[in-house]
Amino acid sequence: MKTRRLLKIFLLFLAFSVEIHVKALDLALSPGCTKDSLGKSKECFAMNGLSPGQQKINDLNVFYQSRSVFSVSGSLIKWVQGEGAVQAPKGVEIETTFGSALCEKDCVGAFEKKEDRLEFHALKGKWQVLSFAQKNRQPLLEGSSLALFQVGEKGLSDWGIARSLSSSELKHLFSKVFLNALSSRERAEITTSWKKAVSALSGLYQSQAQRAVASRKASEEREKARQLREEREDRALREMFRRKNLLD
Amino acid sequence: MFVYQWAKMTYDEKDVLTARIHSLSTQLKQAELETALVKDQFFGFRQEVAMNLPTLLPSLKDSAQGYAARSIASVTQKPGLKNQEASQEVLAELSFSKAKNAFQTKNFEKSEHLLKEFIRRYGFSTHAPDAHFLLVESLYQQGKAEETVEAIRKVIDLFPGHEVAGFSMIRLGKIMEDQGQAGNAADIYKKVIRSFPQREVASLAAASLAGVNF
Repeated sequence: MKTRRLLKIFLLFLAFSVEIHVKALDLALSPGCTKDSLGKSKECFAMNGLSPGQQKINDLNVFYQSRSVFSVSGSLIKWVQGEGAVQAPKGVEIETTFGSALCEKDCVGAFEKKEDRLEFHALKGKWQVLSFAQKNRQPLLEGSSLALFQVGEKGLSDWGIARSLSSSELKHLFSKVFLNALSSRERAEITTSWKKAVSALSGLYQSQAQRAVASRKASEEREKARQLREEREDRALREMFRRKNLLD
Repeated sequence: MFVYQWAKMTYDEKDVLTARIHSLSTQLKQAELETALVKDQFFGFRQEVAMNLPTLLPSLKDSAQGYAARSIASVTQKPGLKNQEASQEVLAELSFSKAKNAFQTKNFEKSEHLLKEFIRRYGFSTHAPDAHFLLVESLYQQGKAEETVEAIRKVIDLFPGHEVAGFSMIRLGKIMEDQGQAGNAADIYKKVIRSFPQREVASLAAASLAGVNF
């Protein structure tokens, strides 16, 4: 009986070692770097293979999707490519060529670097975002998202408007990006703050939308009146033109 | 059995190929990583340049380096809708001025061709009404009466309130006069005087009306 139990434990250990081994192999490292240097030098980049993964590096729990490229040094993550997320009890800074995001304590955030922008989702903690060439950091509500764009003609990169995540986006983050690794308590906390963000930002959007609708209505009415006037004039001109040209 | 296992391990091609696939995919991943890093570094550099250009551009505005700096800006800065529209308008401007030159030098065949091309490519340009009117004139000057009338119809359809529609109608009146329809021509001139508030159009229509030989 005891032998069978020992055998079971041994098999479990074996399976776990194989899993770790596979995951470790799945990361390609930049030349001159070893698995140990990941987390120590910001010049040591790792690239993930096709399957999503997760690594505990320093105090950070880093999640990465396929083909993600990043480096970690202390609490600084340089994110080069792909979609990822981080859980950082002691704070973290995420740096990209579109801008950076900073959080001081008990932080959970997700991000995706696309061709033309960085999408950042603040899920837990006091996040502040700074886009490239800007001087002031933009605080982000828990449960909200912001996009940072390329530098424009004024030499500053554009901010998007902070928006709340949709429920399907949140679901995607929990299951596909965080690989269902967040504790149920943490998921509940994030969901609560997301709900708060939805109601806070929807109030803001409502007043913006009302203003936009009112101005749109006024311009539509002006345009309608102009079109009617022009149509009247055009009809008279065309009738005359047809008559004179014997086109009818 | 032992010898069999040893031989299998030593000579099994499957293992060799598996090892080779593994080594090649590692190399591929390494190359992909390096490409991603270079791309990121280049994008970072582009962002730096785009950030510094606005302070540099005004000082280079009239110098020889100004054009080069603007070219760099067009590559490094985010291609906004405003920029794209502006570049389209610049191209339209160039194309229109070429056609106008041909018209001014009385090369009507060439101006007809260039104006038709301009209308096809830049139909929404601010020069479109003028281009349509010059096409009317290019056709008229070549004695293509039918095509001219068709082009006039288009001008009136597209820009009914614009002064080019008024001028085109005056041209229509002239064609009618040429065809011996003086009465109809006079009616058109009168209609232009009533419908077009633009002074130039109205005075030209009045002068044309005064010159009609019934």
